[in-house]
Amino acid sequence: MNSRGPVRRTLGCALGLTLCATLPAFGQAIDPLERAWPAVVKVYGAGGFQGVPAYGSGVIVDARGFVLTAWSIALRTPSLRAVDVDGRSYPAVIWRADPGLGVALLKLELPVGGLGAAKVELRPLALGRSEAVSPGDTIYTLGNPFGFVYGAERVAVQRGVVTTVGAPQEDARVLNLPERLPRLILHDAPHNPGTQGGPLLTRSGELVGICGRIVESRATNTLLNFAVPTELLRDFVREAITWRSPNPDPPRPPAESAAGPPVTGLRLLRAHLVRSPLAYVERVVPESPAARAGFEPDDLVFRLAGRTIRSCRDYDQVLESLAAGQEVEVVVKRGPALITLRLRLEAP
Amino acid sequence: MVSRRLAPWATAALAFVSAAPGVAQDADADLAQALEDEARQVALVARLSESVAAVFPGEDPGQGGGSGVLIDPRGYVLTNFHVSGVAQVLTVGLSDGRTYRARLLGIDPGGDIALLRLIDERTFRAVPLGDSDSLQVGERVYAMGNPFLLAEDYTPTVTEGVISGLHRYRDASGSSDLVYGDSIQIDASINPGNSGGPLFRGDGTLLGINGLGGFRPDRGRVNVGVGFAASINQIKNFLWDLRACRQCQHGTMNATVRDQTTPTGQTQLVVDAIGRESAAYRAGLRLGDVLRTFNGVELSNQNHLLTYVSRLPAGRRVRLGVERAREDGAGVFEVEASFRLEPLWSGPRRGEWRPDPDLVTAETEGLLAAYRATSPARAYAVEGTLTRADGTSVRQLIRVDGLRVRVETGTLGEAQVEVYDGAEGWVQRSGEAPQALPPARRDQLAGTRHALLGAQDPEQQRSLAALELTGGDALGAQRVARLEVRDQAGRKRLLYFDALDLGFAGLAYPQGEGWVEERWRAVDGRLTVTRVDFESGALLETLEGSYAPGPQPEGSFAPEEVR
Amino acid sequence: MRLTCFAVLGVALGAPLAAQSRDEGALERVTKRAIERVAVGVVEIEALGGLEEAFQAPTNEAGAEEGILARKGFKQAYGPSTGLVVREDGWILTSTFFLRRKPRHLIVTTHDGKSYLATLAGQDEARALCLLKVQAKGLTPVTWAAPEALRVGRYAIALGRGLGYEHLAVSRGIVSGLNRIGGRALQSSAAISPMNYGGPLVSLEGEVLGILVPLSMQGGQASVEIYDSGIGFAIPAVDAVAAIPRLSKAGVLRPGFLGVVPDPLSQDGVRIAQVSPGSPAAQAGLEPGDTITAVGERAVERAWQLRHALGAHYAGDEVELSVSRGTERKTLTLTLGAPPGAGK
Repeated sequence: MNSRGPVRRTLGCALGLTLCATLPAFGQAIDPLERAWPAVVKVYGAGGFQGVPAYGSGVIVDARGFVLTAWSIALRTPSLRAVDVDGRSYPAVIWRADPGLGVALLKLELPVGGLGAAKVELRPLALGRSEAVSPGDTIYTLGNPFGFVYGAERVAVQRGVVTTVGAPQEDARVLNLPERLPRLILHDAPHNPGTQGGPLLTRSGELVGICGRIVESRATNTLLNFAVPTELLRDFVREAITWRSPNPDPPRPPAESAAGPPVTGLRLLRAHLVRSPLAYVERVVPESPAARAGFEPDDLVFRLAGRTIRSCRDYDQVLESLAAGQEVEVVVKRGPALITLRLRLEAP
Repeated sequence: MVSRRLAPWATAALAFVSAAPGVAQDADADLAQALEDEARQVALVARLSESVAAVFPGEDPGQGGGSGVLIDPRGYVLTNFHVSGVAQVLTVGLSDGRTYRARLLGIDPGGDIALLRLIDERTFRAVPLGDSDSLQVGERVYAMGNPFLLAEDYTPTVTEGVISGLHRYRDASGSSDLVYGDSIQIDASINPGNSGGPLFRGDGTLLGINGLGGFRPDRGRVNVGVGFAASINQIKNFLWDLRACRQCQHGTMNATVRDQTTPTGQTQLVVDAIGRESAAYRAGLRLGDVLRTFNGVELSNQNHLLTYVSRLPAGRRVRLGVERAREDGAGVFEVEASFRLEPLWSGPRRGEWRPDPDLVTAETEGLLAAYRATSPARAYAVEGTLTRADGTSVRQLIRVDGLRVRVETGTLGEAQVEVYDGAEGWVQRSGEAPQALPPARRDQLAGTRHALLGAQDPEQQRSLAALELTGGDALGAQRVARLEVRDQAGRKRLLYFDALDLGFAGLAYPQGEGWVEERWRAVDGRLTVTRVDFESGALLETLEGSYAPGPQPEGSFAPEEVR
Repeated sequence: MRLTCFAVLGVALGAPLAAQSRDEGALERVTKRAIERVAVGVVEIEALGGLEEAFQAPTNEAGAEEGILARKGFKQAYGPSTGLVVREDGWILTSTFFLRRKPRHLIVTTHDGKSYLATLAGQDEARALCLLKVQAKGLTPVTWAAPEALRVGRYAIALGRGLGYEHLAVSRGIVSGLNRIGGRALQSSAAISPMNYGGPLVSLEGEVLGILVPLSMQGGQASVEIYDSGIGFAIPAVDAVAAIPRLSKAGVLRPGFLGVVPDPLSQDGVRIAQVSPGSPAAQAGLEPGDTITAVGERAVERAWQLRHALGAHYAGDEVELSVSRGTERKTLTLTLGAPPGAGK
């Protein structure tokens, strides 16, 4: 190509009016989303094996390049990167992880400026007040389901309502839920691989949660779409961004006491029957807390400290989670009636 | 037991009032507002339901199938190609609980669209086509159709959701031909059987045809809130091809591009393969070029380009803005390449699917009848300024009456007059004697007049060798129908009709080595005729002036009148 | 005059840009009040004992990501179900979802945390409904919507107690269709699953449009594939209410069975293609080639209309059929049977 002249002359004469219909840009969004969009990034880790998606989403929460996303083992890679709404790709590191909470804070490596590198101005989204969220609220989620958009393409928007807020009683039976989530937001907007890490927004565009990974409820065989509420993330973010270097190792969970569950004096019927997982009382140890509470053999334990007991295993699990010294309510079925007993737990 | 007001409510409401005085009134206002919006939604859905079809290939309703939507009261139904297949006869169920026979007109296997026409004398309730390019992400939409063939009575299922994304490029894995080029992503529930059904905006306009769903293998083949509709603005580009009973072909640049990340983290598109015989190559596109714009819009990645290319049919002209490195390494320079897209053959192989010629004839006649009903002028005069590409301009006066045409170009002392009287042609230049028109020029004028009169007049039409609706094209931003005409002398013309009012929009004819595309725009007695190179769109000349319909002086077409 | 050509333009349907003018805030607030109004009548039902769950918990994250459905030993959900208080003296209407496990104990917990032992009073196999009785007074029943309130396109809020009695699970969609599943069910796009089977589908006014049931388009009980798929079913209020007195007495209600196979292409009256031997139709003397033109007062022209007309009836109901054979017209009265193989 010696000269641009001939090219220009032969090719460059087409006028505007010979164009096809004006082409659209990528599209605008309704107001609240338009504000949130620049803060959403596509996150690429090292998954893709055993059903763990390599792709996800994240939210820029600080202009210095801090991104909140959902915790996943796929983030543990030196090739971790994030792509912003303009299609810029940044190398990223895990600045802090909290698998118990189900989130991680990433730090993007921003270009330092200078030759050939435009200064990047990130447009973060502030953490909103998730305390005000309640069931029935309209919500939007932004994310990259199935990871099929990339570069400057905009991630997908889903709308739904808040299903419930709190720590559902069933949480122990939900697969794969982060272990130390005292509160979560469930919603009914579509949730697919790749949506995790994206923002949960109120109808006015306030960031109130980070979408979690896909979890399934064993109790209902349904997928639960959960988000980690921002109220649980404020301290996490505030503290982590003061650090001078990444510290991706998750905090150790507090050591379990080796003492074992509190003592009740109840002996459940644990005969190796195929058909009965129910928590029937076989024997009440005399002089025990159970005896003082008024338990009798053949009582069926239905609720312990507010938790439904469907099996001996449930009973063991709930009991282990209780501290000695407290008095709990136990609902038992005795004959044709349900009665409530008060049981004081003793130290082993 | 069934009642609209019961005691428990009263107590609930009371507690509410005492807790927060004044709130109850706002609550009533909210409820009134929400119920009013809801009533509008109910009315909209009821009305739209009448235009939604259950589509079954073949004559037996209930044997697999999908959905469709009526887009014209005369019974035109859009559906998915993967629903219709190449079944010549289909059965269509409407919400009145009845079934109708339908014929397959055109197919767009690459875009997964098919056009049917119901065989019935009655008129149907059709929906207006919307503008999918004016959508906003997050906007509320409605998907309708017959998932799982649930509706035994053919009343459609309606689901509601929002736009998740716009201008998505998705190829459906598994069936290699199928591309959702410029598609709309929605979170409304789409399930098997919804295919071919409409996606509506809140104003009741048609936004697209639902046809592709995202599924999770561990959940079976049901909706997961990731659905795709072929956008109506893409479909509009193919509508005339479909109505012309064609197997639509999408366009290709015959070049491949890849995303390249620059040192600054930006993505750019680099041409990494290009066919030497391709139109793009002829137009100057080269290996290693960086694509910046497509028809004036900035490109951000490969999907983006694919979206724009695949929403256009083969033969549509495109313009690329290209950045190329200087050979001496000192920076880059910009070039443009403009050419017509080449066909990307997809669907049934050539010859495997043929429309019924009677259907093509019927559609052609239908279009001609509508055009003739606009009372096109057989005679008119145009007087104005002809401006050539080099910037020079000259006065031009054109008189037309039936087959006859007289073109006077230039001013006193430098004028040239060309006449074609329906059989013979003359040309006279200032100060010279009239002589016979060169045969090429005579053929040019004659071919055009025969073609246009044939479209206007059934008598003249009979004297043509062929006149057939062959599809659509675009003149600038204007989508047009294209008629192909051949007269007894074998002269071929393309006539364009504005898709909106069936007015004459332009034509194309051979000139020299190539073809000229001529675009007509008449507004309030002012006319602009733009002539461009058919292939590249490069401007040749424009004629701007006054337009006056009506009979022309008899003598103007006689050779002896030429002075 | 210029004819509009292919694209039908300028025929604006409905108010322009109705969607954009909509006040999402009002919808949100009204939704929440509707939930509040119904919540007190929505109870949790625990079904204990019965068939054992066959479930192996995954041992790692990757295993969990695989999904429980792909795993061997998967069985029906065992979590809490949902029910509706239909009378203050302890009548609870719910779905048959949990009965499949043949539970040994049923415990109903009301919104305020009070638990009651429940007994099964009756079940409707055609509509997947069942009625429970608890010893209680002063419960707060739900308010049923009037039949004319049920319209396609209305908002529909699904409520359930699948997360436990103290959490109401909310999802919202619209009424997607009527007369589905043999004319017995309405269809909604709200997320419907074991999380809310037996729960109400609620209008913006806080009235119950229908009760959510695990019906499926394939017949039989809905399986995990259609949970939350945007296709869910509910028994309309009017039919649910009508079933309650019968359920409280009858024990088991089965779908009414006639025993004819209609010609799917029937247009003016339903032509009978086949008659099952020994069926009520055969006993009443119906033969292939006969045309059924009405069931009771309901005229039937197409096969689906016959199915819907019969779908309104249970086994044991007496129905009147208008039948023509050649030029002969007659009216038959017969008693519908139970489908072969139904119940035990």
